[in-house]
Amino acid sequence: MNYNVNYFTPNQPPLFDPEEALTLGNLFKNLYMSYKGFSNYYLQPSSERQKALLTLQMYEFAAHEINLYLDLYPDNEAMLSLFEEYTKKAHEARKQFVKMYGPIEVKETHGMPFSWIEGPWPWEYQ
Amino acid sequence: MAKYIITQFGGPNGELAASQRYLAQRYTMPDDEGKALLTDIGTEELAHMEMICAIVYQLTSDVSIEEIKAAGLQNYYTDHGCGLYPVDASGTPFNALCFASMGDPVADIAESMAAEQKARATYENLMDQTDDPDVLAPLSFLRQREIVHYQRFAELFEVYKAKYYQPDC
Repeated sequence: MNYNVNYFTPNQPPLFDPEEALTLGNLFKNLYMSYKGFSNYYLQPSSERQKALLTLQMYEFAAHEINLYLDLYPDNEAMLSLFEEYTKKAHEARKQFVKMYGPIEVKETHGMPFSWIEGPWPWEYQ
Repeated sequence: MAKYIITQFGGPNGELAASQRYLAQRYTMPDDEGKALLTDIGTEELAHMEMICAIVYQLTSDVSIEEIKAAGLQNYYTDHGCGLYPVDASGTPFNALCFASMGDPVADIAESMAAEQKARATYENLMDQTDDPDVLAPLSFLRQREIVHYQRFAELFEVYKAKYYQPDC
């Protein structure tokens, strides 16, 4: 197994694109380690709703990975601008999802009846 | 598999322990970097706890008593039905002793690094036991997260070691 022994990530770490990152669970190419050759398959959305949710999760995941990186290296300009790009894309994807399929957080709930309570909840088959 | 996967909810190296460990340790971190990292990883672990619970819920919803018996889940079923209750793979309920919080940045981050490695190893033990792709995929995802978190903690640890683990400090 190729354990990463470098304690310090380089300034410009090589990154997966957001879709691949979400699939693998890792944005950083130099940190990726598969287990016994297992590799995750791309998630295949089976509805427009799933597709919209996947787009949102993809950008939120990439932004979150960079968030953890920036916690330790807050003055990395290149990573900061990538964080802003993915955050913006996540925001757009979220607006789109909420408009079509309802709230993700309760504060995004509008109109009658109170649509927050409508499933599917995150643990239910969707 | 539900019987074993549930350890990542209620076991010593599970996501409940991880989230509470980091969200407890964050208060006494000596700098903004440490406070931010523990807050953000601790919050992510709460989402992982939800993923583990979702896997267990989906594996146990609509199963027959025969399937419960075949899966060795009778003890659990007797006490909890198909409700989610934090136990490890041998049925021992969650114990707060498994997350240490020392108020010492070097000790706490060393603990967190070990916790990530133990969680990674647990996910590998779980992956060894199934060939269901719908279970393997999230387990593999969560395993990768341990690897990334370990790296971040290791980077923070080097800084803290240089600052707070020196002669006479």
